[in-house]
Amino acid sequence: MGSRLRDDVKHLFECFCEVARPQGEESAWILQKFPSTYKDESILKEVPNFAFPCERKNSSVEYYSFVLTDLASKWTFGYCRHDPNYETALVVLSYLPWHESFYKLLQCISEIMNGSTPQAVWPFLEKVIQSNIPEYGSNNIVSNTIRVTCKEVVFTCPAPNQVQLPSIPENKNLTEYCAIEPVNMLQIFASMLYERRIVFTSQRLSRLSACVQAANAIIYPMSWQHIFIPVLHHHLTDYLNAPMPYLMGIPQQLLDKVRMSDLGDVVMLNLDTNVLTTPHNDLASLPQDVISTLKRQLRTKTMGDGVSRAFLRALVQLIGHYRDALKFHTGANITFDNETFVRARPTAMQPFLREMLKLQIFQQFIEERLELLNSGMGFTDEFEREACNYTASTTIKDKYKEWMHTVSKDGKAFFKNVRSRVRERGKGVYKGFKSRLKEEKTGENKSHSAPNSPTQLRKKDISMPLQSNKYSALDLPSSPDLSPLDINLDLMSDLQHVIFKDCSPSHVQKTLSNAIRPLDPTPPQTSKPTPPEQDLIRLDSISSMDDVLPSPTSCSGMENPLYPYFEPSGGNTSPSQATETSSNLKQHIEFFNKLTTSPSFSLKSPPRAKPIKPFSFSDKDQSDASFDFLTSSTSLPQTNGFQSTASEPLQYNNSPKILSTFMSPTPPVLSPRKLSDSNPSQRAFSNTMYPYVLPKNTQATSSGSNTRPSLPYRPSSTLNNGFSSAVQPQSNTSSLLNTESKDLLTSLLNNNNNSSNFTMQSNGSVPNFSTSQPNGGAALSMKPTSSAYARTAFLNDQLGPAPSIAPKKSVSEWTKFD
Amino acid sequence: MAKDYDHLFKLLIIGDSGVGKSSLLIRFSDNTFSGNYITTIGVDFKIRTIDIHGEKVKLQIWDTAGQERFRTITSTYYRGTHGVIVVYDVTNGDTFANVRRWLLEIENNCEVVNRILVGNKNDDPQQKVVLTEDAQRFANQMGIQLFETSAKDNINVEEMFMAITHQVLQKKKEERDRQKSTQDTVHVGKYQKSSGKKKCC
Repeated sequence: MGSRLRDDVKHLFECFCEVARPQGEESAWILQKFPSTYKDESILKEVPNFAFPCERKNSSVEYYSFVLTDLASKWTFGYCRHDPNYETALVVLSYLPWHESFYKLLQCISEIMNGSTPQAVWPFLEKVIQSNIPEYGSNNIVSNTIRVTCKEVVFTCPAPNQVQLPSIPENKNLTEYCAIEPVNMLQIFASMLYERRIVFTSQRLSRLSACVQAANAIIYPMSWQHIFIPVLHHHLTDYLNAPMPYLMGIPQQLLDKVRMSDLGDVVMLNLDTNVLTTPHNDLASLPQDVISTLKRQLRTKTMGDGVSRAFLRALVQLIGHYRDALKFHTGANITFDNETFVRARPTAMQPFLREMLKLQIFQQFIEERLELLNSGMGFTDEFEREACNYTASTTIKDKYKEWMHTVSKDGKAFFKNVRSRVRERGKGVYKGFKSRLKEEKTGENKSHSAPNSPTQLRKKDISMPLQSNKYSALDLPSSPDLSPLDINLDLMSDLQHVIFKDCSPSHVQKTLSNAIRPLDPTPPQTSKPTPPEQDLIRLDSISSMDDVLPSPTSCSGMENPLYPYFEPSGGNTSPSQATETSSNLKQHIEFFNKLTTSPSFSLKSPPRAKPIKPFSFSDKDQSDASFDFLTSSTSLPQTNGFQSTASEPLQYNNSPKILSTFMSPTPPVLSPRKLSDSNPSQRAFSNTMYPYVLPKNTQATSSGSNTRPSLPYRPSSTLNNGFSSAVQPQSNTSSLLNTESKDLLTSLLNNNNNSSNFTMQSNGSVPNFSTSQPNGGAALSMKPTSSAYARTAFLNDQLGPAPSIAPKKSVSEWTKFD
Repeated sequence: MAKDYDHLFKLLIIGDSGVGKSSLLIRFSDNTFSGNYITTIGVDFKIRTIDIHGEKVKLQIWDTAGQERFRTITSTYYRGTHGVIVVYDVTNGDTFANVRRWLLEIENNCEVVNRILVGNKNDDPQQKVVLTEDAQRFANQMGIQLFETSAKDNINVEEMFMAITHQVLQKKKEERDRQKSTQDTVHVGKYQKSSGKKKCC
C-alpha cells in the first residue's frame, strides 16, 4: 500500500509529553507524560531529541512537527510547541497527520498548564484521548467534531476533509511552503519525481517541518516512500549520507557543521534564502508543456487550493492515464502493464514515463490502486476526478473537434442515410422499450439475471444472418459491394426475449407490431439473412455464455458473433444505393484509418476474431461493475466505433473499449489497444456489441445544461455514468442499446412524446469493478446536422436489480454525487 | 581533513523484516556506531573499515524499514549504492520468494549493481526450508554469489561481507581501467578518423 499513514488509529493522540530544555551538558528529558501507561521506550527516547533538535533562539511561540517511522514504515507525527518564555516544550504524538488540529490542542494545553489550575490539564487530556476520532462525512455533529472544554478553554477538532486538497491559508504547511519561489517549488517537485536525495534547510523549525510536509503533500496522489525526516536532530546528521532517496529537513545550525562534500549529489533548498542547488537537471527533464502550464497556474492561482490543484493537474497530465494500462484477466487480478502506460502517450513524453516506472512512489501508487480494485473496493479522490476532467476537457474535446470536422465534410450523405433509417425504425423500437419498462416498474422485483432467458433462441438469432465462412466484417474495407444497407439488423425481434422476457408473447407481438418483424425461427445453419430492408441497426442479445463461447454450429464460419451484421451483400439493396454508400464508407474508413496512428485514436479494426474467452474483471463475480465500451458503429463496415464520454464526448476506438466508470463521471478508458491488439482472449467483449439506434428525434435524457453539472461523480453508479456518456448536450438523437438477457437495463427513462430518454441507474451501491461476464449494451446517437456523428457506448449489464422506470426529474438526482 | 580510508562504499541490505538484517549488521559492525534508529526514523546504518590488500575500505551498510511492503524495489532505491546485500531467511520460504522477485526485477531493469545473496538463520537444519541447492541454482541463474549465514552463531558473516566488498572493489577497479582504456580508444579512434575517413565504411 502506498500510504504511510496508519489505518488502525484508535485515539486522537498517543502520548503527550512535556520536555525539559537541555541544560549545558545535560540533554533534554521528559518531565511528564500522558498517559502514563505509554511505554514505547524507543520513541520516548527520541522525543526529547526531536523536541530540541538543535540550539536555537526564538523570540516567539513556534509550532512544528517531526515524524517518526516505525519498522513497518508507518509514520507517527510529533507536534511540538515551543514558547520562549518557558523552559519546556510540549509534544503530542499522534498517528494522525492533522497539523492544524494538534497545534490547536497544544495551544489549549499550554493555556491550561499556564493558567491558574495547571492540574486541570490531565482530566482535559483524558477527555480528549477518550473522544472518538472524528470522522469526516458524518452527518452527526457529535461524531465529526471533538469538543472538549476545560473552564474557558475550548478545544474543538473537526475531522479534516480528507478529499479536499490542501488549501491556502487553511493549510499551514502549504501556506508556509508557498512562501518560497514557485520555481523552487517546481524544482523540488521535479526532483521528487526523480526520487532524489533532497534536503531542506532553515533556521526556523516551523518553516522546515511545514515545507517538508507540504512538499510531500504536493506529489499527491503519490506519497513519498523513502526516508522521510522533516526535522533531523543533532544526533542524526550522519543520515544525510544515506545513499537512498530521502526527503529531510535539517536546521541550518546543524547543516553548518556538516561537511558538504560528503553529501554527494543532494538537492538542497535553503528555505530562508530561497536558494536551491542541484546537480541534476530534473525540471528540464520533465515534459515541458506540463511544466509551462504548471508555472502559469502557480503564478496566477495562489489562494485556496490553486497551488495544490496546479500540481495535481500536472500529475494528471503525467500519470493520469495509468488507467489505460490496467489489464483485466479472466479469473485473475487486474494488473498494470508498463508498456501500455508508456505508449499511451506521445513519443516525446515516453522517456519520462519510462523513468516514472522506475519510481517507488509511482509503483506504490499503482499497487495501492490495484489493491483497491482487486479487493472489489472502489475509490474516488480528487486525482481521479481531475483526471476525468482532464480527459474529457482536453483530449476528447480536441479529438472530437478534429473528427467532427472531417465527418461534417465527408459523412454528410452517409449519416443522412443512416438517420432516415433510424428515424423510421427507431420510434417503434423505443415505444417498445418504453411500454415494456413501464410494466417492469409495476410488477417486477425479481432477480435481474434473467435466469429464464431463452438462450437457445437467442443463439439462433446471432447466427441467423451468417451466410458463409468467408466473411468477416474485419475484411470489409476492400469489399466494394459492401454497404451499410447490408447490415442486417433486427433490433426488436432479436432483443425480444431480453427486454420482454416476462411478457406474454401476445403482448410482445402487440408491442412490436408496427416496427418489428417476427423473430426468425429458422435454425442458424440453414437460415439466410433476412433482407435488411429498412432495418439498419440491430440490437441483439445473447447470454453471457453465448457471448464468450459461441457455439461452433450456430456461428459457423464466424468466430465472432459481432459481425453478422456486416453482411457482404444486401438482399434488396439497389446497386446504385450500395455504390453511393460504399464510396462514403470508403472515405470514412480512410479517415478512421488515419486516426489509427494516434495511440488513443485507434480505429483500426481488430484482427479477425480469435477464440473468445470469458471476460472477467475479477474472479469475484460481483455486480455493479460497469463498462462502457465502444464498438463498431453499425453504419460502418469496419468495427469502427465512437464513444462518448460523460462530459465531452467523443472517443474513437477500434475495439471494445472499457471505461472504468467506477472512478468518475468520465469513465476511464481501459486500454483499448490492449484489448484489441495484444491479447485476443481479452476481446471477448466484441461479440456482445449490437448497436441499436433510436429515432432521430429522440433526445438525450437530460439537456446539456443539466447533464454536465449533475455528472458528478458517483463511484457506485457505474451504469449511470455509462449512460451519461451517451447523453449529449445538443445531441438530438440519442439511442441506447443494451444487450444481454440478464439485467442490463436497470432503469429507463422517458420524458415526453417527442423525445426518448433513457437513463440507467445502477442500483448497487458497491463501487465494484468486477464482473465475470461480458455483457454489453451500446448507445449510439447521431446528430442530425451535417456534422452528424454516431457513437456507441456499451453498458455493462450487471448493474443491479430489476429495470425500473423513473420520472425524468430524477435523472439529475441520480447523477448527483451523494 | 585527510581521509581515513582509500575507498568508501555504501551498501544496502534488503530483505523482509525478520530475516535478520539487523543481526547481520550488528555482527558486522565494529561498534564504532552504536545507535539504532531503524525503529524510530526507519533507517539505520553501520560502519566498518576493513583492510583489503593494504587498502583501507570504509563500508557503510544501510538498512531501511518496511521493505517488504514493496512488491518491487525500484532502481531509484539503490542507484546511489555500490552494492546490494539481499537477505532471506532459510527457515521461511516466503522471504526467499520475495528476494527472488526483487532480484529478477533488478535483472529485468538491466541494472548494473553488485549483488550478493544471503540465506540467514542457517543454524538449525531441522527448520531449514529453503534448500541450499535451490538457492544455489537461483544464484547461478542470476550470476551472483550465495552465502548461507547465521548471525546468531556468527557463521559465514565475515566471509559474506568480505565477498561483497571484494566484488565492489574489483568492479570499481575494472571500471576505472575501462574508462582509462576507453579514453585511449577514443584518442586512437579520433586519430584514425582524421587520417583516413574511408576506413569507416
